[in-house]
Amino acid sequence: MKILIAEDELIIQKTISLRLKKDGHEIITTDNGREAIELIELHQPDLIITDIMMPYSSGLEIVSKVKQSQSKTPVIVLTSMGQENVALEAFNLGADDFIAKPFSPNELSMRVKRLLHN
Amino acid sequence: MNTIILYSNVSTRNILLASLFFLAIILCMVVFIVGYLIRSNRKTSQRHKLKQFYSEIISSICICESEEELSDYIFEVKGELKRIWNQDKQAISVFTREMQKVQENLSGQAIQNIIWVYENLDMVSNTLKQLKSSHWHNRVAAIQQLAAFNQVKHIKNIYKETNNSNQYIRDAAQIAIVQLLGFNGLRFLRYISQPVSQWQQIQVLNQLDGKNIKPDKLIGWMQSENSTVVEFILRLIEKFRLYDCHDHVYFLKDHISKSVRLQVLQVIKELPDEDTPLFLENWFSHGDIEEKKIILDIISRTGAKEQIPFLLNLLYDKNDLIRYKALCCIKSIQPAYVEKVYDQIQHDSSFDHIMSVVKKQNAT
Repeated sequence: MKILIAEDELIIQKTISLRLKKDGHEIITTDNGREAIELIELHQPDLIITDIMMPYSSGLEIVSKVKQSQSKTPVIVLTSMGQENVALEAFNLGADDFIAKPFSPNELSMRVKRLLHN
Repeated sequence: MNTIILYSNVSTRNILLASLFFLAIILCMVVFIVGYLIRSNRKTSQRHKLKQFYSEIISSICICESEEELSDYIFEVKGELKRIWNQDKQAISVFTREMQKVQENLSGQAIQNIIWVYENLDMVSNTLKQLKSSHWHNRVAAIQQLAAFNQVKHIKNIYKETNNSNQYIRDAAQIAIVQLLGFNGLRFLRYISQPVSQWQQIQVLNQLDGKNIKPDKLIGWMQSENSTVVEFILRLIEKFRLYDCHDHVYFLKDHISKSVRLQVLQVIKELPDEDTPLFLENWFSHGDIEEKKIILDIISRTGAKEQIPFLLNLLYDKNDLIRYKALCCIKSIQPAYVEKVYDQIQHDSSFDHIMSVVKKQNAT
């Protein structure tokens, strides 16, 4: 499965990427929201993982763009601790799941599996 | 005529020399600035490359699923890392800072792996060296690293900094201690003489979230000569709603520090008990105007009809604000009774101003 990871913190982006590659997924990465939107149109990923706070376009804008295009691609939002309101906003926009930082890469892998299975 | 030509020649030569001199200075400055920018650019680019390289290593460390897998991986990269660290003394600090980012964003096995690497690559000795630095920011970074990598065995090194005269160092040390030891880490409150700022009090309280609080330990610290410590304990009692400490809070009503006294009122406001009304009435007689206002605010929230005689007396206080607040208290405690009070005071001209405010409020 093709997964897009939009995360501006390089170490976290690479860790998620390596963990999901281990599960056999094809990974596309970006560190900013604007490029993420372009990559989504270009690659049509099966799942999107996006951080909320990113340069140029936020994770919320990505969720909004994906869901406005009637796409059924599931989106997982990464939020910082104490950003429950933002997670709620992401759900209202159509996000399928959220995971709060600090998170375990293994837990994220399980959530990805569940969403792709559904 | 000759003299004029001579002067003119000298003057032109001087101007030329001065211009050349200034030109040389400007050229030197430009060369220096360009050199500095090139050097700084090269350094930034090297740091960027280093971070890229480190991110590959750290992310691989994070996803290792067993100690065996991790130690095999570290065996592979250890040589290269040590070579870089020997070449550039700052490189190990960059690696440590990058590992700290993992601490902030990831949990579970990834964190255990990071701590294992920190200990097994002996990065802690670099941190301890940094802790002795003469620059406060290096020492703060070292303290934060010891806490981030869960170095409980080096707790003594952090402890002695909790009363440092530099606010940044002691703040970092206090937070680190609580991060590592939880409530037990608050032992430093017993001896610190330096003030604990209000911001720091809130930070420490946030660190205590979800930790086991032992109310019996607080009572000793409430006797501290450091009034900011007492203030902090009162905030702690308020935040964790420790009714067990109530009696000890009451004893602080005559504390020499006004901020402590105001914090006592804040605790009482949030955690009132059956003794609160009488206690507040007694305090009122010798409190200053700010304390009196807060006391009346608390009574309006928690008072009962037993306080009405006390409040009726206050209607004739010399301070108009107190009289007005007393009237408001009566209204909130016994709304039906306040109409009778209005009737009684309507012919007293000293209430004209107060009643006009009350009427305005009623209208809105």
